[in-house]
Amino acid sequence: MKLKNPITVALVVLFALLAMLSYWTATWVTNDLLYVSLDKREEEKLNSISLALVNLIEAQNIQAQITARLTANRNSVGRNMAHIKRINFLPVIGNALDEALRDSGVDFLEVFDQQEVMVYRTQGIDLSPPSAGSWGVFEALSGSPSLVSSVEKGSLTLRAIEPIQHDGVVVGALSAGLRITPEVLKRISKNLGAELALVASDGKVLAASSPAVGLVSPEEVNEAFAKKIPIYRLDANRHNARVYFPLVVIDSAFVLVVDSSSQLARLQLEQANQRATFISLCIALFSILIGVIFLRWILRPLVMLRERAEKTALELTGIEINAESTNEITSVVTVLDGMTELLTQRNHELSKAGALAEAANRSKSQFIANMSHELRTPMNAIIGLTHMLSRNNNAPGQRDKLGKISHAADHLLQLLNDILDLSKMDAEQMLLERTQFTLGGLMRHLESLVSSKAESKKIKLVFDVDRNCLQQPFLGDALRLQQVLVNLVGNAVKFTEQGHVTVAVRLLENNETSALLRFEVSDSGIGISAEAVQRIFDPFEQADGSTTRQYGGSGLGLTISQRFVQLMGGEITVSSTLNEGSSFAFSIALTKSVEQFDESLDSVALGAHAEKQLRAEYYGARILVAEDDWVNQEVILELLREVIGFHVDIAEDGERALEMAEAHDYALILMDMQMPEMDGVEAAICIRQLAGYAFVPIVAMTANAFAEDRAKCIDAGMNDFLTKPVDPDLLFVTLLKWLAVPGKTLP
Amino acid sequence: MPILKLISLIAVAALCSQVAFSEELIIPGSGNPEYVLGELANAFNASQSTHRVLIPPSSGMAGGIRDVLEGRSTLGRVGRPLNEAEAAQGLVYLPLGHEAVAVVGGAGVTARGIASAQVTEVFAGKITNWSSLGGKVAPIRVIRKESTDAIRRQIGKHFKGLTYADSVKIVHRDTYLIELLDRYPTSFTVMNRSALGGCQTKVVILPLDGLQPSIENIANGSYPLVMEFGLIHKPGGVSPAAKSFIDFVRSPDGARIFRLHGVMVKNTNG
Repeated sequence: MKLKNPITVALVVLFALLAMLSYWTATWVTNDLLYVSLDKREEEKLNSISLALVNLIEAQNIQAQITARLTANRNSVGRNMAHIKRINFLPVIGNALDEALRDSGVDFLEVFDQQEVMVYRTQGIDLSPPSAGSWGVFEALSGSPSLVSSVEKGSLTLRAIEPIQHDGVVVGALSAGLRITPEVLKRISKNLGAELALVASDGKVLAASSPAVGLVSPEEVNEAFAKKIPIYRLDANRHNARVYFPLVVIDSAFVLVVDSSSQLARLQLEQANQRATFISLCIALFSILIGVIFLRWILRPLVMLRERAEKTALELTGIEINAESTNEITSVVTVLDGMTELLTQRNHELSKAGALAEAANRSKSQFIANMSHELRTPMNAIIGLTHMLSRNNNAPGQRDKLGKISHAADHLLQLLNDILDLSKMDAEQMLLERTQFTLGGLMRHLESLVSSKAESKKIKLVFDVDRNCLQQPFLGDALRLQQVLVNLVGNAVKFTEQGHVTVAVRLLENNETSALLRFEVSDSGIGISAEAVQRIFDPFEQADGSTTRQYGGSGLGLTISQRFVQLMGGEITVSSTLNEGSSFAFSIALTKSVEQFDESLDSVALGAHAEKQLRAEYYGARILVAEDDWVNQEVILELLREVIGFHVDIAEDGERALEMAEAHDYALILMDMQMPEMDGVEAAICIRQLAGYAFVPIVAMTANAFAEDRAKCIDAGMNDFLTKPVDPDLLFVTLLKWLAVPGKTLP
Repeated sequence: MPILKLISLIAVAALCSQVAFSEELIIPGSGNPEYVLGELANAFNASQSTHRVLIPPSSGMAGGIRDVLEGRSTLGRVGRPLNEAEAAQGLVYLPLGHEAVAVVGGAGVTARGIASAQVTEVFAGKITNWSSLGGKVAPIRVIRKESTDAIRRQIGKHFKGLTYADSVKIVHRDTYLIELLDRYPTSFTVMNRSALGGCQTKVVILPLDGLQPSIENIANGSYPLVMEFGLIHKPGGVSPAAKSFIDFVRSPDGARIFRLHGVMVKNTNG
């Protein structure tokens, strides 16, 4: 992993930002708490200083009281005060007071006579005599000591006043006084570590330990008085804390202003902050380091993915991703984009190729259909006309020649059918039909087709069919199954000179809805070599070239048979021993039909029988034939009009057929599919709409011989489907079937 | 056995609930109602054992407001209704009663009454001796509360042109006022009636213009100096102890104690 990769750098920056944010949050919260705590501590400190000063003043008062009491109790003072009017007492009292003052700790001593007049005050104090009626003197003269405070000469003056007694009689009062001067406050402030100021209720500063503390705000003094609680003012910028502390000194309310420096505390706090910052930065750096290591670990799969993606991109697109300018995720996204573009392009090409292939397939299908139609149309003429010539020709030579023409035409038709089937299979367009049949009927028809050849070669043809499934109606493509069996049995007869050909059908599995059947055609013929068995199902293959020369055949039969069986879900297997015989077998599952099957309809009625019945019962019936080819018109006219005696109308196209159907009532309509103007399918749909034609049999007679063509005809409302070249016998059977059962639809 | 378990469970639950709801309620604030609320607290504490109510020394009305606002106390005591600025801080005022502001002399005062005009002259320093008021010869030691005090403002309304001599002692709390009253037998002051119970000496109530500061005279409106006091709390209800104490104060027992100290109980409906 490279740190220069943007995703890594981004995550490292994110870590750093988170660490910084954590630090900032912690600092913010801590600072808030610390500064609040500091402010509280400063407030408590100011409070303590204020209380300490109150206590100091209290102590001073006590000292003054003691001094006053001791001095007042001196005999000399009492005696002289008792005789104050008779003797010159003043020097004596003065000496006594001056002596008492020296060690007293008070600022002054004074005595009052019984008229509350101050008669002496010790030296050294700049005070006016107390006014008459001053607090405490009267009380002392009444025998009660007092403590009083007053503001004199701008300073707070405290007095402890004691009665002076002589012989149990109060003869005067003695006052021990203290003054709270700036010097006193300076002295106290040094001890307390704070600047002090005493403010009177009118806002006048009585004493201040420094000029700064003496600058007081009258509003805050008033607030302290009004609220009766300390008013704190903390100035963080100047690192200074101040309290306006309301207090009562003896008997009067004052406000004590205390200034305290919080510089040291704030310095300590800042140092603590610096330490915390340093530690936090260390933690942040450590976090980033841990984060980077963690990222290396967590991004390893992504890095591998990126490397793999780059490699894949190079392989697929030939484009090298610039690792210097992209991160892991962008690399992967770039590769995916490239791959997606490539895949999209290839999908587009595949889609185009698919469309081309589909178009080619459609062209091929169209070609096959056209070929089928174009070949079957003349074949229909050849076979039909040969059939007609044979019917009334009694000349042996001509009959023989006509027989050979008919045989050649049948062979050609078979070859044509095989080639067309194979083409359809190659194009994967072969569809199986689903008609009702029985194995009994199938085997009888098979026997009728191949028995004459076997008999001519004196080969024993054996049918060994499981009796349990002879009469069971099945659903499937009976024609294709029969085609397979005819091919296999035909080959067996062809390649067997003596012995037998056996057709065996075994019921392998049987349940309510289907049956698994095994078909096996074995012979005692020339056999096939093991090498030839490998390619016997390849198109145009026979065992060897000599076989073709000796036995003939296109080599398509087995190929087509195998394809049909595969379409039915099976596989033809071969076992053969050269000169001993061969066995062809396959197994297919057939669906059981739940409907009853009319065996008589399944049986291929003999054409001659049908012909006779038609002639006897439907002579003169009006038949419409829609056919555009004039040769085929001639053939069908011969068969229907001349042979049977129907009244036959010919329509050259679908449009004409529709007009004629509208004009006349027909017993049956034979409809070609491919016609000019209007094709047979459209014509059938229109005819079905005509009054009285809902149940008139319409039978397709077309050179479009495929299953899908049959489906189109049935969907258009036609009742049955005959392919060209038309087998006259099959035509008669079909006509009889639909004339006898009007309105009957195909099963 | 199951019954025993049930009883134990109920006992534990009852104990827990008691512990959970026990509370020591401190009601700080003004000095004016301090004494009478102290008496009520004593009676309340004696009447039940779940809660305990303490009435600490005066911290002033501002102190009570501050403590309630800062959450240190559930209830605070105030010597007057809240003004607009105080109420705007989000406080609820519960009036408790009305009481007279009495003219009081120290225990040594022998005068038996005073006229309103004389009160003005005493404060102004024009009358300085009790002999001028019909008493013995003795200096009048005048004490007053600081100028923002509720009582000061109340008497300022009644005694027009009131001035104060320099000799008048100024204190800012009732405790100091009472202390000076006790200390100086010839003292003179104006204070709320119920606080007199806090005096240690037998201070003298001087009828003002011949009217005693009695509940009757308050009720009939003849006594001119009347003030209201009460409790404050934050909006949104009070603690169980506070509610219990308020209920007690407003109970007949509370009313009796109020009457004993000259307080006319506030009609809670009005």
